[in-house]
Amino acid sequence: MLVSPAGSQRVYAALRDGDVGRSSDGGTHWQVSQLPLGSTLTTLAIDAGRPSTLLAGTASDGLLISTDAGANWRAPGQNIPASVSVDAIAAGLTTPDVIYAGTSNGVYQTIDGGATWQQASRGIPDGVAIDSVAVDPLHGTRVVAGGDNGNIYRSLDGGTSWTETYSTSSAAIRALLYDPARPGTVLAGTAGATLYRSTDRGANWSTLDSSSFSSTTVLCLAVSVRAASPTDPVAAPVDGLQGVHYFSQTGHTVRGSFYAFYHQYGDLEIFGLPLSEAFSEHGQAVQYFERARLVLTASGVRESPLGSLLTAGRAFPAVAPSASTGSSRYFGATRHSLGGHFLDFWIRHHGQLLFGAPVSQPLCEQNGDGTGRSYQVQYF
Amino acid sequence: MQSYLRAAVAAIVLGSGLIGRGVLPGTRAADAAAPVVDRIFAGLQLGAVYASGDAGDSWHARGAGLPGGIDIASLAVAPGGRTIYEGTAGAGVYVSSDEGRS
Repeated sequence: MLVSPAGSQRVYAALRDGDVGRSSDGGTHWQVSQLPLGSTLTTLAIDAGRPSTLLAGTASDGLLISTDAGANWRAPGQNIPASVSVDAIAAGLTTPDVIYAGTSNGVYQTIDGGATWQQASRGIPDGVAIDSVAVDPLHGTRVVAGGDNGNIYRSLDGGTSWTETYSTSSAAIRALLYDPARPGTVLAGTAGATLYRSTDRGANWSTLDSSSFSSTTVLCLAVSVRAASPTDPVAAPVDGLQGVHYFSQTGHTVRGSFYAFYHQYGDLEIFGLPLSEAFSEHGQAVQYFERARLVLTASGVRESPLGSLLTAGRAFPAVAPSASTGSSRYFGATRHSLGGHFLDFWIRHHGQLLFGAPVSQPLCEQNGDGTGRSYQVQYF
Repeated sequence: MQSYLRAAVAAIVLGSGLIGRGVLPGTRAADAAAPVVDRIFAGLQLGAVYASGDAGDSWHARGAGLPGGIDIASLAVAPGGRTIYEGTAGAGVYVSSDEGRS
């Protein structure tokens, strides 16, 4: 889980006229609290370590802090001067007490969670406005800042010193975003509708294709994240990794005892391609394939009884016992029989182990392949 | 797409985590180890929102139903990625529950 469900329902909006809107139901109902100032609100941020602490940036009153989820606001003890406008606020997830503010005159920084602010612009020319700031989510000392002069500055020491790493021709850097899934990747959006990307923490930048954009200024960047799922494709393992078999068609690996079972009992023909990595489900190691769900049990790898699971709730009339012959077998446990091509297939492919006893007689059904055709099927 | 708070919005953040501009929503350091990014969103001048599912290589228009001609000053995405908040410079907060498609 990334956040508590309660937390994800809370939304704050900084309104330009100086109010802050608060919603605790995902944005349906809003309460508006007035801030004790006359100036324009420019930006808003939440303290990652203390979710009820909010920071609001203003055009000519420095910063304001709320420690009660936006209800009451006060100025920090040592504020950013009223002579500058605060345009961006960003904090690292690993160092929540360290917060950066991009202002109309460089970068200001707090290292005590917002109580006192100092200028931290060494390396950024005097008077350069910083429109955007982003902190590496994995390394709180790595920060990038975007100037209205079109330059991107980078600090590798938590804001102590900055280096210009890129200069766009002119367009102000309005938005910066660290890609949380790709360590070291940063995106920058400019007032010229151009997007740039760096894959080395802001050292080198290349242009992205934004030719489809209908407008000329990127104002903000955001990212949607979710927890990783075992069905997410994985990258091919490095060559020669022992016992790991990679299926590029679906982007999954099969390894260890799952692979031994897969390979011994029929490979692609019987199990199909892997649709997930091996993972723990209900306390058991499992892996899903196109035609099977393999489970690691105390007695080794086994197939899940997909036929029984698929037909749960359906009743198939039992058939009367009959003597098993070379062309037909009767299964007393489930009171169904197996014959013809299905019996041949069952015998040829380790039917006792892989499929078990039939739970139906042969039936004529569609199989959901989209063709609308009916097939003869039998469930096991 | 529903609209709330008829006002000029400067920024939007979600509870339980820092968004600001460009900071991962709602995560703590331990969670940040290997999240999966579904999409990156860009809010533009004049009411345009674009989404990229491939780390920024290609972009597709989103934001049908937003008022034309009003800047998207701020974007916030709820954890899970379905609900997107679009803060506009004059027409309040828009909430989309289908990843910004409408």
